[in-house]
Amino acid sequence: MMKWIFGVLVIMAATIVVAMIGGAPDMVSGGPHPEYAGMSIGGDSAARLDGLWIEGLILYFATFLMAPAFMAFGVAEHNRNKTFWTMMGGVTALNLVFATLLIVFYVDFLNTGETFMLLGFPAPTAMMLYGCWGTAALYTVIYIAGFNKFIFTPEDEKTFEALIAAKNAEKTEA
Amino acid sequence: MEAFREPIILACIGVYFVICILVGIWAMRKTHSASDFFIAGKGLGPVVVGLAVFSSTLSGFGFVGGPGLVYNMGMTSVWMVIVSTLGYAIVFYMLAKRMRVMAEIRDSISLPDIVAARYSSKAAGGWMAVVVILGVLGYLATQILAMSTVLQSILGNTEMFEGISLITCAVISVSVLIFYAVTGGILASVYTDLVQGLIMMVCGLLVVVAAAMAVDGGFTAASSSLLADDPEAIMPFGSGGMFAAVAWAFMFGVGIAGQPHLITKLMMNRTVKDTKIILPLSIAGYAVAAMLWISVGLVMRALVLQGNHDPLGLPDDAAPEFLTAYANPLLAGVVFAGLFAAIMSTADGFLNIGAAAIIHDLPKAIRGKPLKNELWWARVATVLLCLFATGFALYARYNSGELVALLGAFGWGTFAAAIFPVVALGLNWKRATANAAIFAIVLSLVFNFSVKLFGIAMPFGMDGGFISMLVSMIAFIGISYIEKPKPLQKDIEAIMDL
Repeated sequence: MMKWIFGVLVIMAATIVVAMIGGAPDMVSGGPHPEYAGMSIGGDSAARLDGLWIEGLILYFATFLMAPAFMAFGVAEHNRNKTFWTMMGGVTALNLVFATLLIVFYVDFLNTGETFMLLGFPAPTAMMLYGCWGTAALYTVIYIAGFNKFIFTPEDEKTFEALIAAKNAEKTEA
Repeated sequence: MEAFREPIILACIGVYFVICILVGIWAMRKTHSASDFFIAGKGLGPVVVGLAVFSSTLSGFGFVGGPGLVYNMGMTSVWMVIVSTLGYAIVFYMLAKRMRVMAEIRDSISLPDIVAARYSSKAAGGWMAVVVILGVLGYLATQILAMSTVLQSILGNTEMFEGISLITCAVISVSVLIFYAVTGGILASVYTDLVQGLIMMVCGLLVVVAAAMAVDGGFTAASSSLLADDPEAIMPFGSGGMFAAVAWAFMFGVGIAGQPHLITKLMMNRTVKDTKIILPLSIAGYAVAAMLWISVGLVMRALVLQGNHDPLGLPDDAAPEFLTAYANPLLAGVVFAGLFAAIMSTADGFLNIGAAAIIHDLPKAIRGKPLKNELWWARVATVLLCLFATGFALYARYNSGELVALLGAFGWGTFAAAIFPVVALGLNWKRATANAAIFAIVLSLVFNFSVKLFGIAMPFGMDGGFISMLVSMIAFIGISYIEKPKPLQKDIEAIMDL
């Protein structure tokens, strides 16, 4: 699994290098607000991502994929069974659905200049606030529900107790 | 009630300070050893640890800098909050079990202890101690400066304390911090964190309501104002753009598992099973408290754009201005106490790990054994560290702009780059080597300090900490693959198999 993680990290770094070679469009990271000194603006949404969409999307989706990869890496290999992968895969898919909807609604806004409000925010931002933030909480549900099955199984507990016993025996001998 | 605004705010802060002192006195009676002082004898309940984990994550930055960033660049910085659900989960999946088990089996009381044990390398542990000490100085100094500045702005508004100096305010606030951190060690720290966490959650909830009421039409109207002025500000990547937002998302989402003041708390709970309760509590607490971050910045930007509020002098004025103009005096008092809580809860965590690094980890790395009477030395080190950081902060404030910039360099990104690969990856990957760990630590330090000292601009507005994390992780994994791994000690291998 580490080779996969390493590969994605290298791809992310290479993506940044490729993007740098292409150069930065104007206002790629915003500029000062013409009227208010303490504010910055993004300006022309489409123009500032011109030629950088692919690189931006690689970094964006890599971030959403790396998070569950690190979580899975933290679970002992022998505990990563079919149920674990199904649950992690399901939550990751759901999380990615909202991450994708965010992009779809954003691109639609860039093309049409129009969007709709959802629970107080424009649709793409609502996907971020309610969708991406909310669905990622399901990883916590897996942690709680699967604690005895994947995180710290009864066998793990026995090994832990044996380690403590060995340590105590060593101390007594010393 | 409005006529008594200042006395009410002062009373809230006074009550909060008294609570901190009382907790310190109570905790002193329960602290008998260095293990009690640094990791509370591994005996804390899940609620205490849960609230301590989130409250030490959300420093003064979350209450002042966060709303300021939203005011300045819209939604870009909100990604730091959005990834919290991912970030806390990463921390617990990767570290909660292994840190706690390692603390039990190897009697580890600090992060460098764990690193030294994992890699069977005193040098790796020593370098980790250096990172912690440098980071503690930088972080602590900025927290102390923030605490003193906030107290000065509050006291300076009253007739009685008009014209009070920053140094006096530093003395007052640092005295309270030192008192409870020295008397009660980590026990006082986590129990004040408990109080501080609860205050922050109450603040988050109340401020969201106040913010929604401050704009006619609530958040929908506020969003519409931003959309009409500059759509990018309220779109998901904010005015900072996609690259800056994604960089922050990665750095805060993944890098949270590299924050020493947070992950060392995972050695303090009673049992491994408690982490089932600690994780959801931490996430819930952070989410509620962080609502202040988003709502205040957004509403203040909308109010200024609508012409209903004067433009702010500085983005960081967003939260104080909001509290002064739109919050009930009692709410303002509670939030200012919450602000102190946020700053102090982070500062006391750093004091604790800093003192452990100085009196426990460095002597172990250099002499091969810890000092005698560690508890006494721990208290001495806590006082000296706090005084040194205060002096450092005040000197930097009055004399050297470069020093202030350097202090800022040791932020989240440096810890994330230096600690995430070595600890979070290293505790889960048997192939990781000591040389790779040392190289990753040194590389992170050199990279982050160089970026800050030489003013190197990162591409596309990305945070240097993100680039540094990528480079450090790639170097760590790459070197480990190149080197021939050494066999692990039996107990370490067994822990890593769990």
